[in-house]
Amino acid sequence: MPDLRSSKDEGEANYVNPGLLLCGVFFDFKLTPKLALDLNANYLRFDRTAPLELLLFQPRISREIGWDYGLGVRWRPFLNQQTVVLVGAAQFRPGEGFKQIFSSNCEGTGCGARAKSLYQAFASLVFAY
Amino acid sequence: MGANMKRKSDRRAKPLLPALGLAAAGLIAVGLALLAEGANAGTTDGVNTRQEATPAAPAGKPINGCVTCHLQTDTPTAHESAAVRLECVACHGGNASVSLPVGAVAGSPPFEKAKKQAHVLPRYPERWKTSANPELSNILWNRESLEFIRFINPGDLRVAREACGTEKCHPKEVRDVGTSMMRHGAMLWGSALYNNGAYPLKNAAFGEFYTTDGRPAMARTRPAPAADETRTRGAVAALLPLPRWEITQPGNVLRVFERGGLPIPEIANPASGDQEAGRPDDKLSARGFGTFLRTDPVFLGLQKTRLLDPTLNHLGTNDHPGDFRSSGCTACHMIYANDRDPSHSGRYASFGHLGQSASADPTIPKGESGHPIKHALTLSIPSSQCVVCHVHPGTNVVNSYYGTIWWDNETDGKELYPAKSLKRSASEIDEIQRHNPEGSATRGLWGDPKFLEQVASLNPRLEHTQFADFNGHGWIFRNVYWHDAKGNLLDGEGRLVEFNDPKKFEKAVHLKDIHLEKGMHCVDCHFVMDNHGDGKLYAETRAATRIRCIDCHGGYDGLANLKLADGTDLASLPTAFGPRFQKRRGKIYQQSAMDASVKWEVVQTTDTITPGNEHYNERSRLAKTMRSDGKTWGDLSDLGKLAHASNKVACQTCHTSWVTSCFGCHLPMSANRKKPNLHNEGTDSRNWTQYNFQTLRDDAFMLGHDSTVHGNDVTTIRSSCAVLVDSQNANREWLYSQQQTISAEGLSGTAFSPFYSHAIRGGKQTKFCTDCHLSRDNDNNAKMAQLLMLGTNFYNFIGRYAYVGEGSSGFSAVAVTERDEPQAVIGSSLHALAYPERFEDFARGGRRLKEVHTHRGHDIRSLQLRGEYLYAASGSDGLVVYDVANVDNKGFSQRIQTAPVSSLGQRLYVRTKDATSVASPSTMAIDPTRPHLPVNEESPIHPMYAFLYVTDRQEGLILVSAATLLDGDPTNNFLKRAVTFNPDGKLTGAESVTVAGTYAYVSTDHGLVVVSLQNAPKRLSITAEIGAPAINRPRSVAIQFRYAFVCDADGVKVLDVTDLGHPRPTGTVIQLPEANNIYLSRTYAYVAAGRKGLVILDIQDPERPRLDQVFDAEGTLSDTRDVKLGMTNNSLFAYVADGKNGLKVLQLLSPDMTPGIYGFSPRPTPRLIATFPTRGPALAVSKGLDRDRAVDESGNQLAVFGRRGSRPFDQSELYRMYLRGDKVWTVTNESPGEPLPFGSTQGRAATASGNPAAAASHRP
Repeated sequence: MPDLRSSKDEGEANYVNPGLLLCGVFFDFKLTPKLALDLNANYLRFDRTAPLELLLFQPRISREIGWDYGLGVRWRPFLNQQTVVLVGAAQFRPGEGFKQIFSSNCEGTGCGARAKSLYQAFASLVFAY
Repeated sequence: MGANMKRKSDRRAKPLLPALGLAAAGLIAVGLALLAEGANAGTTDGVNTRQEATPAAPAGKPINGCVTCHLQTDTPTAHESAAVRLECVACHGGNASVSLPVGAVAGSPPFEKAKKQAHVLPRYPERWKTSANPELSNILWNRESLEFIRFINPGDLRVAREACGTEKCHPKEVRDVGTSMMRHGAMLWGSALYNNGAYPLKNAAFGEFYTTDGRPAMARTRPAPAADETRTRGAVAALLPLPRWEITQPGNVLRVFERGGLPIPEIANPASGDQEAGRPDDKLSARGFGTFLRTDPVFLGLQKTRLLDPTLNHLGTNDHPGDFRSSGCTACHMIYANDRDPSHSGRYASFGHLGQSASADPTIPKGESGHPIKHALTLSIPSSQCVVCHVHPGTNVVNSYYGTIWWDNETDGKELYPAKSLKRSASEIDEIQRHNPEGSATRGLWGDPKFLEQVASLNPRLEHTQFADFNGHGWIFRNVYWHDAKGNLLDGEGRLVEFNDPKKFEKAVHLKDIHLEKGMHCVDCHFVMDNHGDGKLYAETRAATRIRCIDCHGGYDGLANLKLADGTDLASLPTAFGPRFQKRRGKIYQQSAMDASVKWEVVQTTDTITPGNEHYNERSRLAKTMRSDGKTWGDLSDLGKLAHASNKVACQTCHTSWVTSCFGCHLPMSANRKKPNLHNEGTDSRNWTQYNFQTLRDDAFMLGHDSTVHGNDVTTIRSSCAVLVDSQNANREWLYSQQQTISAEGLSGTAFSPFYSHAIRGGKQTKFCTDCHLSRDNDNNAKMAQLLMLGTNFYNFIGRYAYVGEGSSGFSAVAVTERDEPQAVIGSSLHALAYPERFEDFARGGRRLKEVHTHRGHDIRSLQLRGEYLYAASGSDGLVVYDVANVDNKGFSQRIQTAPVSSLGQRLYVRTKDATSVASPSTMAIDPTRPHLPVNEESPIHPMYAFLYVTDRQEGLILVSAATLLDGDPTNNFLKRAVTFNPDGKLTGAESVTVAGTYAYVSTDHGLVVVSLQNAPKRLSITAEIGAPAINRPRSVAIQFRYAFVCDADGVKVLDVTDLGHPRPTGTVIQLPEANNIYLSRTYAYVAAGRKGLVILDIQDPERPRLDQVFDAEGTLSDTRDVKLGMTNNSLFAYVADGKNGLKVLQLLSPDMTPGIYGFSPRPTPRLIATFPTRGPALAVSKGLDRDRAVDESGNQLAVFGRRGSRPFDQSELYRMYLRGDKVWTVTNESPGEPLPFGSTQGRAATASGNPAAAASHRP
């Protein structure tokens, strides 16, 4: 289920939800006992877009969300879960539906936005005791 | 966005406890102990001195209410002496002021009310339904109130100070027993933990003690022993409670315990983890380093599996004949009916073996098990009382004293297994295993206690053995009879008894100890100081034993003075019938402790060697006066030159008739089996380990050095605690299976220990010269290999999987045994007995094995399994090592692999140009890289054991360091060649290699080349080359002690390898057109002879081998390439690789078909029992684990010895047994010449204890 709430307090309830179809491949390469490389690619679609059309007052939204590509490196220097370093990057390539939702068809100030590819880089460092 | 990845990361970030060192376990244990001690002010040695509420004897009370119900009893005070005057409550507590109301009858409300008022009531009445000792009470005993314990058994160690041990009674005895080995049992825990790598110190550190309120306690020796006393006497400063297994650290780091595993999912919680089925990480359980839980399986086994326990802290288990006893003082001094054999039970035999009362007390139910025979304490303790505890591990000293050994689960099995498998429910199986930790009982009829208690009544119907009348632990014991090397039964004169003689078991000599045969019980040798200890904590088996043979039998040169080394006067020790010893007219007589009318003369050693004496025996004189030159004998004028001086050689070395051995012990830990800890708090948890012996035989006679506590004398050695371990995870997947252990300092955990075999015999059944030295007839090469512990390839263990090399088709791991107990070889006689339906299906299906796991390979010509790795020589791929740790793990999609992580993470291969064979220098797991602590007194491990030896046609001999595979670190497994050795191309064309001692015998296309590994890996050298015609294009070599057998183009040739570096051709040839490989097993050689099939040679005299038989399984062995043997239970099997027909399993020895199965080397009776048609040509079979090899031919110790300072012979000591200078020295059993005049040099008056020099360090 894609989350329609932008935060705990705001956004739409999820009782009526467009639903998500996710199809992906995930590769987990154990390079060394300490180092793993994760690659994944996911294709995302809404199950049905009627709830979105109602919420957004926007007709005929395509069901395609887009492609998500990710790459991560997991390093466990002491071969345990006490110290885990995870560094990764991901790209999202919008599909038709995403473009329709996040593109603006109006003209004037603040209008004319076009959906572009999104990027994310992250690093997480976990110390657990 | 990166959704999967992030989710994984979060889930893995669960907090884990940091990895703690082994010290943590110890620290926690100390903490626990201190807590326990702190809570009990006044505790000095684990026994509380706090006064309890139970009143002392109510002196002067006019009426003793107890006797209004207990109208009669046997001896009112339980003491034989009428001088002892005690009220019932003085010992038992309770309320004597309550009397039976007039007219109340048993069971009536007034009667019951009075009973409740008079008796002390239990906290757990549901467990005390009658007055009998409950079955398996263990920890219940800790939880009961002190008053109740005292009421049931005033002799219990928690209360004995208030009863038996009060000031005017037996305070010293109670104090001594409170710290005795019979109470703490530390010797077993110490050996098990050290031998299997769970604890780094060889001196035992853990023992069992409880405070008066039943909590685990530590104990100290006060004053603490000096370091030297610990070293030479075995007294330790303190013993800690056994730590909870949940907080222990894996000592024996199998693959599953290595760091690096991911948290495994919880059962039925899909959100708890993220591992997919079949992935390599699954093998890393929650129990490894760096995971939630670090536990050691050895600690778990000690806590939960019934081994030697219960100790004197608890009641006996009171569930089988041989298990009935009380606790503490009463455990020994109040007799229970355990055995109907008068030689075991003495005068108590008539009371049966079911632990039933014969008391005059009308209130004690008769016909109910768990009661003492009478309310009577005694000094006349029969052996049947001792064996209740001294039965573990089924092969203990009292067993050999009786001439019995744990039954092998196979011989005469048709009377013991049901014709159709029993459909026992899970709860029935659980119930059986609560009583008996051995797994076969769940399939056998003897799991039923009613069947078991009558098992001796089967004897008239048994064909091959006879059973004893006690069944401690739920086990069955068989008699050991005198037999020759071929297993022929022998009568007292050494004449053959025919196998079909209906009275054969009456005619053959039952090898019970001679002392037992003369009517002696344990207590006729082991007196108070042995049984009670001296108040110190001794932590090594026999360390607390004071009695020595010469204390009664005297030394060479005088009557025994009946005094121990510490001055204790044996003559002053009482029996119930007067003084124990008397000297009359130059003779010593002993009074039986069991029977007033029985006395005997104690034959004096000196009399047996003094010509003219009525006890004179020339063989005795020969053995005792023989000098180390091997020729001179007859007198005692030069004690320093005696070959068998009693300060060097323990008496039983020669005087034992047989030594029990238990080769291999299979300890599978299963999950989801809720079972209690048997010690300490007794908490329940879900893991439990079975206790299954593997091969029990009475035919191995091995010598080595005793422990430092016993002066490092030469003594008899047995295999013991040589465990193979399995473990399941919560999904019941076998995370490891049939794995060896490594002892703390790196020696193999296939353990041995010095063993005082209480199977002393006189006359013909003792050892003779040729039992330990080379026979002049040259017919004892195999016996010498056994004696010196070089191994005989007879007991080797090929486990559930036989590994077969198939050339370009890779290799197969073929499941050849059942997984359950007994792990019968599929298609074998035991399989038919224990798994009748599966056997029938198998036979109906053409005896084809079905379960197999395979791996591809390039050109596998030779392979060897060791531990969790399989080494393979793969032609142009070189050496390839396969990880087979998960071969039995159903959760693994690819059970055999070469790369747990990518090739960046390890390299389990070494490329060579044309690898032809690989040899692991030992089939045992040995780690030469570990540090040694001087306090453990362990032998160094030769560095050559860190390498694999690979032959390559182009490159010669290549040494590959493999030690990193065993070190528990998965990050350093990058194999690389350490040495390539091919000086002047002399090893070019190398086909195979055999490692013996510090030499590698390399077969090349131009001859045999011997390479010295003495200085490996730094410097290798060629010491000999033998080419045609003596050796013509050799293919393989096998070595047994002084002889090498070479398969070459002409057949089988024999080399004399007395000097390993310089073999000498003997000229002996057995012509065979195609001798591919050879396997030596005791006095038979098995030759894989191509189209002829399996050729069996009799090599009793290795220089004159004889064709015994050729077996081709009706033509189905037509391209035989390799053969290896393995023993399962009591049967011997050959695993034959046949290039055309695949793997063939032959049963060579079977109890039902082989006459003399128990012999040292019975003639094989091969029959084909199973086949696996391999994909490619079967070229090679992996050799099984050596279970009787403790030392290599160069005197390097391989296997751990479970007593500090004990070890096999080193090189010079090995040589001393058969070389004089560099010449072979042989003996016969006759005297080598005329004796010197005996003289009267050390006359009998000189010292009464025997010559001090000879006796000073003579130990029991």
